[in-house]
Amino acid sequence: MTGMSFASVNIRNARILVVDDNRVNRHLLVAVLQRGGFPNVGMAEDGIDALAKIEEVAPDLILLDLMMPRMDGFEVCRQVRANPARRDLPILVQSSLSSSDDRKHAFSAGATDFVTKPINATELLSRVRIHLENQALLRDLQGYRSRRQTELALARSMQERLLPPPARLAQARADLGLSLSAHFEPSSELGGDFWDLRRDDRDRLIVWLVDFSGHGVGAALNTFRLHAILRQMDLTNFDPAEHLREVNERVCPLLRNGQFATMLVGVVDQANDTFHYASAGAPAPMMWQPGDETPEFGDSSGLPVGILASARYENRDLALPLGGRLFLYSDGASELWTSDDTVLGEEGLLEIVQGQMHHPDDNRFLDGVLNSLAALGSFNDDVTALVLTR
Amino acid sequence: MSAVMSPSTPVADPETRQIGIFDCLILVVDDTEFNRTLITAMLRQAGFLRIQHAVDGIDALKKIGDELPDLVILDIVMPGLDGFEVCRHLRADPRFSDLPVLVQTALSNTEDRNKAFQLGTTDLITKPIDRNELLARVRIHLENRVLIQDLQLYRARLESELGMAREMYNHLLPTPALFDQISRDSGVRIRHHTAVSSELGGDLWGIIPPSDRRFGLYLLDMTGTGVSAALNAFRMHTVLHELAHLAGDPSRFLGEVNVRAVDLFESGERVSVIYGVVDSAIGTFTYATAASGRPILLQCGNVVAELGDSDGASVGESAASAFPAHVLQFGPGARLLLYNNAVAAALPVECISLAPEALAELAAPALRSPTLVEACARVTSALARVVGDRPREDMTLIFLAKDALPSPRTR
Repeated sequence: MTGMSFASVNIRNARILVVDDNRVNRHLLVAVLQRGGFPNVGMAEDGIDALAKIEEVAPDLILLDLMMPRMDGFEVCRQVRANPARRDLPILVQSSLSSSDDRKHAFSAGATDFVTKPINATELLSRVRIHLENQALLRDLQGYRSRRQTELALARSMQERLLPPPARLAQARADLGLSLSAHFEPSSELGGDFWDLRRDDRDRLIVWLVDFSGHGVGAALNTFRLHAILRQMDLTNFDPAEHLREVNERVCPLLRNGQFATMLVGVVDQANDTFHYASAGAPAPMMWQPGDETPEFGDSSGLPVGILASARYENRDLALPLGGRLFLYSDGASELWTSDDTVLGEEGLLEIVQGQMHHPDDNRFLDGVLNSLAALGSFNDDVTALVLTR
Repeated sequence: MSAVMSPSTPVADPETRQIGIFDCLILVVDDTEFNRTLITAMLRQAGFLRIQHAVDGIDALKKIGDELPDLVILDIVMPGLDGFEVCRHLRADPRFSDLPVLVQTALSNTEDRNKAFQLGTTDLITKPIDRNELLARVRIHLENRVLIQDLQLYRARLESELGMAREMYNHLLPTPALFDQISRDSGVRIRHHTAVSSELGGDLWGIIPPSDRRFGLYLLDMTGTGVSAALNAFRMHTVLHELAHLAGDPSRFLGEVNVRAVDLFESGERVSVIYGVVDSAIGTFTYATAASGRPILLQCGNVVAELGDSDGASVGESAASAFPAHVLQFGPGARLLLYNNAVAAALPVECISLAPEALAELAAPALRSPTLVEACARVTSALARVVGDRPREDMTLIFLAKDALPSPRTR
């Protein structure tokens, strides 16, 4: 209803339905509309007739009289609005009765606007134009959104399928005697986070956590490329630092300037009670054991992948004895903007983890952490979090 | 953890649609204190939380400039700048062109009402103010504004995301510098024509340079459309370049690409591919196909174009598929045309299998043009005449010409 001047919106072909039981009025209104540049005007002579005509060909706007035999305008309003598809159809009510009660009833029955009899042609045409332009704009925007939503929902399901399916998690839990839970939530339909889980040739569990710069469609395109590379890499004699070096070398030529990813890859070495890992600028992993009061941060410095093809990475170890727990996360969790406009930071996240680390169940731990985060502020980046318990 | 804008039903129900309007900023412009107080009381009682006042037209424009309201309720008769002037100023400024302005007028004053509409007012409220009418109109305009702003925000965000993705896509395509290098090294000139829709899609072509007098060229066409097809095209691009060490052998190369694709794709996802190696030393185009269009070749001096083979299954269909290699003579003066499936699909033929013949017949006279630039232009315009504006998908045509003259440097 806003008075927008959208020259591109073509309202001349709009179909208008004039509903009035008085023949003279009907023809007068049609004449006014046609002279005003709306050739496509239909007529109905009462409420019943109006509903039938609306079913036949849906109009873009209804000009509705209130007092009519058989079915009055209030009822027509209610019945039109009962159809969800017609919730936004503009209904201009016209009546000679200018009482406040009538207006109140018309609006609450679903009228969009009100014109008073006797009809003032200039005002009528202005209102019709405003409503039609608004309607056309709304339809255009809604059409755009619904097309994109369908398109992105499909892409989103593809992205979810990049992640390890529940069966693979269950298999790893059963085979290795580990427990493991993960959470993945892009900030919009698609995101630049990615994580994966595989076994190397010695049946050790390898975990990847990747976070591409940016979010949305562009970042998702990059996760698909990285996923394709990881699928082609040889995992025998797995060495995290060497693996990162190779990934980086292969990713560098693909990415545009300014695009990069932080990445952490590690292997759960149960024979040596360690998490053996390398990091390309990922957030610092947290590790704790039963009885600990606070988690320990692992060193995660390293150049993000995609920046320098010759980058080298370092292998590091965190002690992971039986009962030990490992918490990995993307910076969407640690760089949360809290409601008092500060960034939470790794230390802030540490405090939250401290509050939840006593939950023995991985799912409950993760839920606890994520709920605490959600209570502090809103996520404006993709969030991935993963907890593993030996 | 919900997304910034949750992709729920396109239109929220009436209850939830009202959420958000009570936080909207409403500016009440009236020189009479009594009227300001009255309108404000009505709005507050209905739940509106943010109401500002302006005491005349000048004050109104200043307040609107300071903080953009979501709706203005405007009196007409005011000292200094009247309501008409305020309206005129607002509509002349693109920042305020869609700001809802509700003008208060007496019902009987037809002249004022018409003038208000002519100046771009959004709606009129009849004086004396009736509570129900005021609230109904304010609600309708604010709901509409919130809804439209929400949709506009969504569209702006998506367009920026897709624009960025499109740039990434363009970055995958071969550069003019690479064409120049190939032309210098092997005397083969390359041109391409892409009729792009604004959408992202699953079409892609590129060059893999194995060695200096040979280079590989692929053209692929994913099933599906939009972002999901683009996601797959991007990963195919990665796979093709990861397997560059096999690129000298089209049959083996496509076979290996297929094995990787079967691993990566979901059931139903397929890609048609033609991959060939141009060997300018011996003058051949050795290629393998996966459900692609048959290559079209015009030998130097010939009038009729010949068609190559297309016998492989789609890539991604079965890991057991084989992609036999075929050879076309591509000696001096020869011209080669590759095209994606959208081109074949757009041709008005009874059966899609007849499309390559139809295209070869249509393209042959144009391919004989003296220069490749001309050949490319004539083929595309001949195609446009036949296809019209029917194609909705991106059409890609790739033209290769082996220099007719002995020196590869002359052009």
